[in-house]
Amino acid sequence: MTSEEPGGRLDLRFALGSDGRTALVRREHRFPFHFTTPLYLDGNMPGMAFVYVQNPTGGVFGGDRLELSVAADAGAAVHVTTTSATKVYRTEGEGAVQRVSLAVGTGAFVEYIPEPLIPQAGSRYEQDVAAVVDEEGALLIAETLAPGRVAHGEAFAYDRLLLRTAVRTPEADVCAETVLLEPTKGRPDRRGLLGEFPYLSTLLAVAPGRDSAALADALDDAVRDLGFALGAAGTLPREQGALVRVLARSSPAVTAALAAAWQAARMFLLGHAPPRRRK
Amino acid sequence: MLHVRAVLGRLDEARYSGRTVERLPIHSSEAAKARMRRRTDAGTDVAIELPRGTYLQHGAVLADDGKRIVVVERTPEEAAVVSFSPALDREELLGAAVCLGHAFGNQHVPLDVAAGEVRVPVTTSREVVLATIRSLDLPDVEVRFDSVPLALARPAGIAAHGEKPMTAGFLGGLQLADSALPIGRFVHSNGLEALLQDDAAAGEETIADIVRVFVTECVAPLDGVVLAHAHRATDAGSVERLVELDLLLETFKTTPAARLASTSCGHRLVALAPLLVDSPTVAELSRLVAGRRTPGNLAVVDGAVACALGVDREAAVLIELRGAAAGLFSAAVRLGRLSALRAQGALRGLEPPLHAAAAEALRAPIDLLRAAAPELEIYALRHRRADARLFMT
Repeated sequence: MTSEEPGGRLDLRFALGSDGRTALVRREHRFPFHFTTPLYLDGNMPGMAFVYVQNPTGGVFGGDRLELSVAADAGAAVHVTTTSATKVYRTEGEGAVQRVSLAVGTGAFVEYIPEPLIPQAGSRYEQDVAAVVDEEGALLIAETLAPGRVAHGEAFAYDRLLLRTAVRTPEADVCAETVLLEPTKGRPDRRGLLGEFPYLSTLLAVAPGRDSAALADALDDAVRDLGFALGAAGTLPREQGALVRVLARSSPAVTAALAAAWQAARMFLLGHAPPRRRK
Repeated sequence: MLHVRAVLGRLDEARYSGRTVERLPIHSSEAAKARMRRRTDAGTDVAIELPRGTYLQHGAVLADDGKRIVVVERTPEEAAVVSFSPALDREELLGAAVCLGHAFGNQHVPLDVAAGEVRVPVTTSREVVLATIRSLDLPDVEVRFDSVPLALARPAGIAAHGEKPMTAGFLGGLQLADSALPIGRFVHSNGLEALLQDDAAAGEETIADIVRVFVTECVAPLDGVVLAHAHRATDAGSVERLVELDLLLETFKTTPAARLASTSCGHRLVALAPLLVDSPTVAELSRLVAGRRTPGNLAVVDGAVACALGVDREAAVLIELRGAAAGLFSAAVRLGRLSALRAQGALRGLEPPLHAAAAEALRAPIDLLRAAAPELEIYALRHRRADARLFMT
């Protein structure tokens, strides 16, 4: 695929129905994206729509241009995840690019918690997540990064990984983060960077109008004494939410640490724990 | 005699249409001169006295009495015109162009690029120019000698040559880098204290690795880049741009520790700035920070103050990066984990990466700010709730 051809696209819009259920009101998708019809999995929040994004090609290839867009209108509640880890394959030519845009309407609640990203040997990948959160909306974004195909003895063998996340409200920027890892130029497992922990997970909880210091404390309590992972949380700029970072030595450990943070964010923002997701 | 003290505009501006044009020939090698006396083609005697740093480009309007204007004209000069074969691929072309640019740049010969050709002024002799080009062994190049107008606009990259004494800003730079500058740089360990508490075995080598990661992965690609842009904005007198940069930088300070270290030092430097420099731009920035109209991050304030002190952009970025490295080493010394002597050696050892990181920061576009050192960041976050601590972060 060259950059002139149209890339993969998935465009989903959700609205709160009069029955209190969040319904999918617009969809547009183009190869290779697939998605499940909304499932309603949360007994504590029966109207919340859960959508699983699938990429039946099994991963992201060099030259791929993927675009995922999720909009939740006022009051809607949406959870978006992927069915399995996103593998980024070796490429000789252009790297792969994925853009994700998230729009959280007034009073809406959106979770974007995909499975880990696994950049394989010789891969190049660029990801751009841009989100807008309206008044009284709340957004959770998680990103989990694996060092590569560990079962194949592969760690930090990818060429280049650029992960950008930017969140704003309609009035102003909230926070921005850019991680650039180029193992050929400097190993990511240097002390201070990832150190002895090859797995990294970040959870951003953006909730304008909520007590960000209390949110940060709740998240910090959930991850600081896990033992199997090194984690901590703190407030975001301008009291707009909190950020959690977790480092771990294994995939199950990082997943469990992220789950602990997710549960704490849910408890704080909604008053109840997340349901079990079916994978 | 006509006195010229400023460049008024350019010949192609609409306001000059219909004027009678008197041409003032200025050789490319004289275009950066601030004072000279010349005659126009109509015989008018012109005394030029311009602010330092002005460049007399082709078409610059120097005088206008409503009927006649005096315009700079670049007369043709002898040059070697180098053209590359269209058969070269991108990589070969890039290699050849960089080699050529490097070879003549090294000799301080300004090059022009026009119509896909490189023009090399013959400042010595044809033979010397030819020998230089041949020695590069470039693939498929053609060289001809021609008489062409050169350096119509200011050549890139040599703008500052010879405009300032070499030591301008040197003492100002020392003052900014001095540990006696009371801005509270040394009360922050940016996560190092908590990390060392957790890792009793970490010695000099580990500490140096961490400092290097902190400077090259966090400070340089974020604060370093913003500082360079703030320096530029101050040079242009734009407080609006400084505020924009300050707000942008704040969004990238995603942890309370990073924000605290940056703004507490920034606030103290900006409050001190009026004693150091007499700059309306810095004074206005100081007022906005004091009135909480802008966050007052250190990189923005540092860039503005450095510019006003006459410290050039490259030196200003290096001072900031070196300051960040020195601060962490000093923290390690005060935590009893590194001897003060070894710290000095380790700081010297970081010179090559500091230079490389500064060069990258000076080139980086403002839309690719980045900073990430997750392990150090997590320790900085944990530090906040630690029981016993020496440093603020």
